[in-house]
Amino acid sequence: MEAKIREFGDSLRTFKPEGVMPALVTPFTRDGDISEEGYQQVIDYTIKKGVTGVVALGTTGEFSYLRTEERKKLLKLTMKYVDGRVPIIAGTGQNSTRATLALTKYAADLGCDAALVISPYYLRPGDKGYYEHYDAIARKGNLPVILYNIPQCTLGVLHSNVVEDLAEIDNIVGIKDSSGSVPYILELLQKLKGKMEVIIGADECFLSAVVAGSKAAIMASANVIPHIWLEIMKLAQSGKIEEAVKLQQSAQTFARMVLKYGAAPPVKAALKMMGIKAGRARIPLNTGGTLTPEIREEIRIELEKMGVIEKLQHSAIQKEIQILDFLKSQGIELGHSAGLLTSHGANDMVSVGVVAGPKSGSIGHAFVQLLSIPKIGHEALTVILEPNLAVKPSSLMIPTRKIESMRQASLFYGPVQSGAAKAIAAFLENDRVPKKSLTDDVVILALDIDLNARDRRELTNATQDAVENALAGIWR
Amino acid sequence: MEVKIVSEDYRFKGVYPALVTPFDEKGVNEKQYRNLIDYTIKSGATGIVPCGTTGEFTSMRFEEKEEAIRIACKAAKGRVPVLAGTGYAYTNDAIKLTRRAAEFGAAAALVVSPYFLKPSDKEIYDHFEKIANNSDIPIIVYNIPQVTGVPMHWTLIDGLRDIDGIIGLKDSSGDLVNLMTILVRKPENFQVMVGHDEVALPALASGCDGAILASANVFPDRYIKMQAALATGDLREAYIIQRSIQKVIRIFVNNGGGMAVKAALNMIGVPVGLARPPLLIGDTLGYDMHDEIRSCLEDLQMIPRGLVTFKMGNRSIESETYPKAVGMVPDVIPDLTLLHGEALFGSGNEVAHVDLILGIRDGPLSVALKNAGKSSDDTHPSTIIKDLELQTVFAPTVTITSERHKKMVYEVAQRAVSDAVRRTITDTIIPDELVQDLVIVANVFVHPSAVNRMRVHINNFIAVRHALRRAIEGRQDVDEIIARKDSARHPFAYNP
Repeated sequence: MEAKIREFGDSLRTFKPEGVMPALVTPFTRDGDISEEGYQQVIDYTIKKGVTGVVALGTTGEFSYLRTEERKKLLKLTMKYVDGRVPIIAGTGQNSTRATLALTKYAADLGCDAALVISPYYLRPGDKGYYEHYDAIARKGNLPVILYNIPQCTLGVLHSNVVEDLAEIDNIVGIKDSSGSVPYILELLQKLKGKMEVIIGADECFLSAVVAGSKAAIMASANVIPHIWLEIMKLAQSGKIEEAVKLQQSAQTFARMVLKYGAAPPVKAALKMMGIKAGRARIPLNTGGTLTPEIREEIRIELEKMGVIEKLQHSAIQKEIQILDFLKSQGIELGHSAGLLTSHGANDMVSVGVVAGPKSGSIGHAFVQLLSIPKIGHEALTVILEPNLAVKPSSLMIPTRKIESMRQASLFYGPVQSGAAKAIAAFLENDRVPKKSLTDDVVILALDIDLNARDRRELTNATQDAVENALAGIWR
Repeated sequence: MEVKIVSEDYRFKGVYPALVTPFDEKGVNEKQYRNLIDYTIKSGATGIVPCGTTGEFTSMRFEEKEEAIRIACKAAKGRVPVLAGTGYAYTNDAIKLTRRAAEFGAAAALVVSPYFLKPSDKEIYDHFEKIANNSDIPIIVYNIPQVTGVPMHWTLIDGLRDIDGIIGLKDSSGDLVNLMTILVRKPENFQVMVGHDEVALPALASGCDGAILASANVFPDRYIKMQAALATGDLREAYIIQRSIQKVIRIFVNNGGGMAVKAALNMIGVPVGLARPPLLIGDTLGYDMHDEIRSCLEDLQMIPRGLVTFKMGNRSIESETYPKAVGMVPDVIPDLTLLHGEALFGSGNEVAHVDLILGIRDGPLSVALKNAGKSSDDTHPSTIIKDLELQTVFAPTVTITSERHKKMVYEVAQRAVSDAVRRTITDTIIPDELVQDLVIVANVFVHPSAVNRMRVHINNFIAVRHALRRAIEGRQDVDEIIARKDSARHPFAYNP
């Protein structure tokens, strides 16, 4: 692509977006102050990992929570910490044209390399208004301008025909599209004919856009894994598509979670797990509603998989769970009352001990005790195929290994619960449960699972397998 | 253009049910269909609509729709007019069915705008013009963008209104902004009927000529009374009527439509069978909402009451006024040793998930009483709820993380449990004689991030009521467990 050259007074400047650039997070303290130390760490980390530029005050940088004075301060900090190592793109978009122009000029005076200008939101203009807004910034802002389309937040779309018209303006050098709409990206790439760069801003579609001809990316997850994105780009551009696909898929879950759970909170959580002081998000985004503790732990798993943090190793599962011994350890003695049947089953991932018997006997008492005096970390729950669809006979399941985290809980009360229920339902389907047991008996399952398990679908299947093996020992 | 004569004297009055269609293996179940038509007419319906959206018209073959319209016309004859649903995506099929409806004696045809492949306004206009030109009965245009994907703007209605033979509009969009514009622009003789149950009151108060509603299968009389109140200017009375049914119609409209209405009719003793697959209970009409429909109908005094016998050893205790939704309640509860029910209600952080057990106090439940209130380091503290006639152990199964969470669990959720148990007794589900002999354990989960006290209370109240009923009535049954084994959707079983 032909580089654009523009004249500002007597100086000559160009900017050509390329490579992978993080939409830098803005680290905040608990009180909402900008954490300068944290910001420097994020910048140093991303530059060390090879980013081709940095973007301050993007959506991930929570620009919409920062007043103009704070944005100016952050731009100064960016200049200071980057210190000429890579180009700086400054997010200078505001709601009004006048304010946008002022902040863009400020960024130009500081020495930033380009301005990323979000399409005005809340009070949205029509196509003509968008054109005049960008035209004004491009002509008078003293910086190369990148348009920014993110309709999920702005609720307005920069239609391709407006973008085409804007591409004619010399000083507009690119558009960042975060819509995640592949047809839209393809339309821009086709219609703009290389007049300006189409920058992918939707992490999940990174490879699709690169293969289609996009040469630059500005992304939230590039705060965390810029090296992976750069590698994917290199592979794709050298025709190694299969390898690129494999690598994109390894980052897909993380990319999806970053976009789904509010960008800044998950990115900051990930950076902190890596020892980078990325701080908190500003309120109202920092109270655990957008990024729940469960999701935080899933992010850790993804970081482990991508090799950016070390894997926590969990101890192996307990083989041959003797259910009566386990219940005894929980303070529940089952006498050898009539009709009490026990068994166990296991595979590499899941191990289970089972007991069934008449609810009028000691197991009935155990059933009541488990539900009425729940043990912390060993809470029993009803075996259900899904909420509101419990299996018969009445069955409870308990973890033998103490539940220490929300993720562990969500595995136990997710795929494990589902797999156990499917196993019992399979016995019902094959008519292997004695009729009398359906009404007269209760069942208690104690399970241990391999916490190194990463795939919930495998865990569901492994649980069903282990529980069916165990049940075969009591219902023939 | 050929000039044709259409009976222009058809005036829509009152409220028509968009009839559900009872099916059997062969097709339309005529016996049940006639019984339903009789029920709605006796309950005040001023007309009927076979083959509407609620009637699952898209799941019926052409011949089945002919059959349904034929039966409806025969059954209604001399009593109320029939407004036949004759819409098709393909114009010529709509023309054919409209002609058949006219032959059977339908007073008018309700024609839905073409769906799936979204036509332009021009094509929609041409579609209706062709149908009207080829019909001997007047046409009512039917706007329901939620399923057609094509909203009919008031400007389009301006044009359609002008076509000979088009005499009205049924608007099911719920879009009052568009509807108001249509109403203020229309001439006197263009009839507009509201088709969205949740906004019946504002639509009728704003000048709609009547209503065609899914919920009018169940209680047409309420809408007739609402209209009568409005006619005398009694807005307050009309509002009270709408309020009395707002919750159950919200469930109907948003949870399966015709399938939900069928569930309600079955419960009150008007048998109409199940919806045709792929619609199924437990899916778009979730088990939670299915049970909540029953609660609403119980509150409306529409569920027949009858005898349920609770057996306990050699004792036999009877509830003579148990609300016995048809098909959901056994006549005998054979064994009160230990009954077990589970229920989840609500969503997000305020979700309520309850595991509940119920049984005689000298059986296994004695364990719960013995240990309640005893604190130890490794258990979640459980308590016996004070001032509750039926002894109930409240056992939260979540680690308390904050003062707010503690209040949410031990104040809000506990009060919800207590309210639900009381309500189950006053509803005469548990006979008075048994109250002293029983113990309940409610094992509840409240998410540490829950903030909305009102929703935590409502969700736990409902979940406990549902769990109690499921424990007593033994639902879901084994057939349901087997049938749903592979399609069940466990919310946490999937990768992020």
